[in-house]
Amino acid sequence: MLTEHFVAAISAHSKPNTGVTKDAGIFFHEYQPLAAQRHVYKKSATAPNGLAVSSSHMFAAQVEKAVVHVYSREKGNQEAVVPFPERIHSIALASKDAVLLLGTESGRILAWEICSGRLVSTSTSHLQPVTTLAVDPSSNFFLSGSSDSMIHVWALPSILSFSPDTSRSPFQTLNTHRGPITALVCGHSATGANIAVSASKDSSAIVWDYHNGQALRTYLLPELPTAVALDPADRALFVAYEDGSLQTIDFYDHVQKSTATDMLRDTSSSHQPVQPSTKTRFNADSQKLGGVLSLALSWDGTAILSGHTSGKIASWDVAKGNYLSTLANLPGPVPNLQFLDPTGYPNTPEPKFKIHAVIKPKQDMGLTTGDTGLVPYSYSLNMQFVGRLDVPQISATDEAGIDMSEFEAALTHPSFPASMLEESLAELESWNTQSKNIVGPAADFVSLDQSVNGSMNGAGATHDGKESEIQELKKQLASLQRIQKVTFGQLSELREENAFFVQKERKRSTLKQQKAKRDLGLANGNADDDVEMSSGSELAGSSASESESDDVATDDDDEGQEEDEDDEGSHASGSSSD
Amino acid sequence: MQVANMASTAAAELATLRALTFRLSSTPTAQLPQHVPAIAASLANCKSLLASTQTSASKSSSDASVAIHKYRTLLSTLLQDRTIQGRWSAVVLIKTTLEVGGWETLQKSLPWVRGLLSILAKPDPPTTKKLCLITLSRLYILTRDYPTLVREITTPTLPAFIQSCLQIATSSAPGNLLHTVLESFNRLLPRHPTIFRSYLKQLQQLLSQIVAPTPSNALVKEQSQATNFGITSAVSIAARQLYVQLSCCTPKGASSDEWERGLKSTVASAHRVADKVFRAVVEEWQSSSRTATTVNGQTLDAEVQELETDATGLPPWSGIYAGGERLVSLLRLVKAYSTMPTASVVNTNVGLITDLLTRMLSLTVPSINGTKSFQNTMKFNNQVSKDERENLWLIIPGVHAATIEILLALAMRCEANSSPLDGLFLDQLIWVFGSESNTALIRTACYLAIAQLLKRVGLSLPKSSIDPVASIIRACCEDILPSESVVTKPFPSEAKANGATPQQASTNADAFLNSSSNLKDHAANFGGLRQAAHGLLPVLFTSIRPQYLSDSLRARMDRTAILAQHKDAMLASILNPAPTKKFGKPAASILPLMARSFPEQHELEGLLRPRMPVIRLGTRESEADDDDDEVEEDRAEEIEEDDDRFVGEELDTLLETAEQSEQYAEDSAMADAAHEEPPSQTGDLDMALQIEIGASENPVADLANQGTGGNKRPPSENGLPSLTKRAKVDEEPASSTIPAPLPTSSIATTEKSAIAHTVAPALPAAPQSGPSFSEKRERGELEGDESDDEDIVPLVFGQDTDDESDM
Repeated sequence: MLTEHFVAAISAHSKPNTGVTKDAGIFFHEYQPLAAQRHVYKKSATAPNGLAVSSSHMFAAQVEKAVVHVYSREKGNQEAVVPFPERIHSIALASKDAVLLLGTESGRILAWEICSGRLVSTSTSHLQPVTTLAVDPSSNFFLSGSSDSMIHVWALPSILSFSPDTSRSPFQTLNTHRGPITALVCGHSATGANIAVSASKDSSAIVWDYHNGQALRTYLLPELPTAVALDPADRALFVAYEDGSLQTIDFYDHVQKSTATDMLRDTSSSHQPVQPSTKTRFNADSQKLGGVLSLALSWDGTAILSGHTSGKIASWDVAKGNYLSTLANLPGPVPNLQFLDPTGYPNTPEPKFKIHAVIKPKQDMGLTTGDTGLVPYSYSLNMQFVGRLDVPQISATDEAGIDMSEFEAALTHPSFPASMLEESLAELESWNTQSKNIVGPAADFVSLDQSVNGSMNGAGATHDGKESEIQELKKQLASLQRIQKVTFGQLSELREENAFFVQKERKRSTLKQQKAKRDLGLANGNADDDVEMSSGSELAGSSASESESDDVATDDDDEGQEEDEDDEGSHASGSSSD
Repeated sequence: MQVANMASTAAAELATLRALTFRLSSTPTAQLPQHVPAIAASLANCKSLLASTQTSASKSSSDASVAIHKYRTLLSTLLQDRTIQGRWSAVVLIKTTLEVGGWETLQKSLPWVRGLLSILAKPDPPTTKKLCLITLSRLYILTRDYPTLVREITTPTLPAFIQSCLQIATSSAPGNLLHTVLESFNRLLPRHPTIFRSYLKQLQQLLSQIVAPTPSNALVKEQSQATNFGITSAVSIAARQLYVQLSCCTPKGASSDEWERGLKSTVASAHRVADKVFRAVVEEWQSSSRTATTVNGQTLDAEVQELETDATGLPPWSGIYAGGERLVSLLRLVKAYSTMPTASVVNTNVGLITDLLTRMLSLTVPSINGTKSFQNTMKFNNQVSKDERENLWLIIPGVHAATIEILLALAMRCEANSSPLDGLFLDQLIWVFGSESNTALIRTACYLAIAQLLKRVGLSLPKSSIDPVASIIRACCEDILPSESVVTKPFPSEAKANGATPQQASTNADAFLNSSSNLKDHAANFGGLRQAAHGLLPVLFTSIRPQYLSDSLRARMDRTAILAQHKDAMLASILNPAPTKKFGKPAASILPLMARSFPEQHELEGLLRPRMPVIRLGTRESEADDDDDEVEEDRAEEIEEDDDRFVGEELDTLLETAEQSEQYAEDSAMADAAHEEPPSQTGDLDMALQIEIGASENPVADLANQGTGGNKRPPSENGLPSLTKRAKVDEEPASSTIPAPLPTSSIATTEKSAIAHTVAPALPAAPQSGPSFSEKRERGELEGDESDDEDIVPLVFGQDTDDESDM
């Protein structure tokens, strides 16, 4: 939703009992969608052409005083009162609101850089006060109109320049008018094809090609013009008169039409003054508006607002040329009326800096630069940097793209960029094959694995150089463990075997002893060894109860042996756990 | 209807989420990563479901909350999974869920944050950690807007995050992981200065090693332990950005002071390094602030080196190349100061920066051939060996490119605020370009910077400032033209063709020596150079007043634009036509060539068949005087030749716009519009650009409107009046001047009057200059020894010769 505002400033202090907040001087109105007053700024009696509004501040040159009031738009209050050596008759903002131009009583123009406080002055080229200033859209030029009927065109960069050899005198002088200049507007083109329109008290308006200093068209006006406004597409001019009427001057109307090209530049007719048809004049007598002091055209160019001596602000239909409504009734004459650019576009780029407070002008800074041409050491800009800028490193081989860094792209991606996921997946795969070998054995040999983990935790995290080393070590460890396992297996097998044989041997010897006892005691049955063996084994296997008493003795022996073996085993396992 | 629609989408989302949950739970963890990208993609479809609040007790919403709960729990378990695949999948899915989930998901993300933080400590693959870092950064950024979430989630967990990051950064992490850490800090630090404050010391220690790396350091590696892991340029860029933002962490109120101090000390270190690196020459630069150390009186070290850790904590270096690297890095650090946002209002000392830039730009490589004696006045320091001096010449272009980067950044940041400096730097850039234009890097840098300066102040520059730019313009044209289409020509023939105009003092023989073909073969591969040159050419047309360019230079630019088929430059040339000299022939526009090359572009359509009255520039200076006496008879001619239709056409153009603005108005209203005023649009709130300027007051307009039945005229008719005009133009010279091939003054005047009344001066030239130009071009390629200007002559003078052939 777009919102469009306009600002009106009155040239007198509020009358006591008008019902308006006391001392209100500048009125901030919403025009669309809902026409209503939104804010007031106090304590200002603004001179004609004395209001300038930037995105952060409002500047109001005061009537009959050599001061400019500065209001902060963000805070909505008066920020500073800036005194100047002489009265200011007109102000205008240039260079994307970075420079405030001030037309003075003595006829020179001051340029105040509001971020640095540097104040530069032009030569005193006008003989009388500079009553009106107009800045071209590229801020390369500005025009100044004066009561001495002259218009000067200045190149702003050369006035602001630090180098001593640049001229501080006008770039062009337009001197066709024969009366004081009352209004001056610049066209909307940033190229060399731009025009400017001036209105003068000699009852004429002239369209200029100010780059070349040519008068393109002269219009003879029926009365003294007080204010002018230019169509957004530079197709028509709106002139306001002291009697409260307005007039549309169409640059392409039937009086002038002959070719399809830009009429203004048809030089064959530049010397013939044009008298616009009286039919194009319109006013609203019944409304008792009083004389028009200021004009402002809405953003879409369909409505025009006029500020009147009575304090009324009237809106007019551009196409029909009729009165629409009275938007406001201010407590004083309205010599300043200004539309602001609509706000609320969805994708407005962030500004690159913010100016929180203006730096009051320091007269000396502009002067010290004169001799060396160097930027003075103390020259500095006061602003907050907003947002990061992308200034790529200059490279002759690589094209500077506007693409974001990998991190930024990933940060704002709905998931992760496909390239990043794929890279990561690939690493995951290789990571798996690398580490697959150690996963199995590591689970068996907890103590070893823990020690590895421990050492890694000690290191805090993985890092590539040592990573491979660790992998190597793990592999070695795993193979050692396998060898160890096999060896242990063999060892235990051997031990079992050994135990088996030892036991067998023992049994045999006990059987032999028994046999010998029997042989000795009974002295009969000297039978075959083989038979003895089988019977002996049968005896041992089937009837253990029979030989139990004997077994007890042999068991003791066996236990002793087993203890020895256990010692060995524990010793071996102890060594393995080391 | 709407409600039903919403309900159906909700049901669909619920089904999707359930399906996804099932897929997640049913897939073995080892195979999960392969499924995750697809799952993440379809998760975006569940946006409103995941972001919805589950408070109402209806059945559908309870179903939804069950499904969401199940999904969340699944993610949490995955995050704690034993396998790296499981954890990887969890990280990716959590990031995706956070993106779609909104506040509802963020609010319940605390367990996830802890899980993610634990992954950072585990021995997971580096890329998993990278994804994890990004996910956490994103989470912290998303919670910013909700103070309660900041209190509940960010503040308690951020210190652990910073600690893990620092651990990753200080252990020898792979470069891209370090980069991610730095980028993440870059985003988070300005928003959470108090939390980062306690880690300031560690950060400074880390950054001092990587802000200004010196890979060719001659010192033994052990002394600078930290430099043994590879620092890519991206890492040091991120490090510089972070370094600059450290000032945010200083306690409240002091941050801007700290920022200013940082800038000052960086500039001072750059000066100090420059003192050492530049010792082979005696600099002419005089500082406006600091007293330069005199190198003459004292004995010098054998080697250029800095063995102490300097005030900003940067490690020592040794060797001139290492010095050069350090200097470039410090310059880039100064650049970072202007590219990064600041916490509060800062007092940017432009004088200090300008001083540094001036010093860097005032030392240039002396030209070898010695033709430019004015630049050869540099004094050498005899104490330093010739080898070191020559090494210095190798370093300087890189230093200059970095210097110009600062200039670009400053101009971009301060916008119009830095315009007072523009004139100063234009001169210095031309000076640098004069001596180092053989380096592609310097050419690229100069094109970029000059384009930016001209865009801002070009139109207001006097001719004296524009003249030295000519050498840059020529070089730019050379860099744009691909080698195969360039016909190299010897110098003298240009002088011959140029006979009428005085020889430019600035045309140097160097430009022609440089144009040998081997240089251009390279140029085709220099993407950055080509891009910069392409960017500069349209600016040259628009931002330099056409009358300040010499004819030959202008022709060269036109030719380059045409041959390179550079649309923007051609358009700029057409919109800024060359002025016609008082006694010369009319300057031809390249409009026909553009019409051939880009017939479907809107810009061209707007130029050729304007819907609004066109603005014509470049009328001849003397026209006013000449035409005065002819006005009357021309008027008469016009009236008898162009009857209603022609007048109507012009009016129609106006009316057409009125119609366009009322497309939604009814047709009947349009029919009435012939007699009544068109309906007003002023009451509308929308901001469409509408305008009707008193068109209906004109009876002629009404007639025309009726004649065309209130419809738009077919576009083809637009061309008709101009065609009849053209016939007129062609007839006139034919009847009077067929036998005279030489342009006499009488022809000039008739021609002038004719041209003055054509709709577009270029149209008559269309069939003439086009073929002749290409014809000439072929000839030029065949012969190969013609000068630039002969080559381009048909564009300018073509009409005479082709009038004959046409007749």
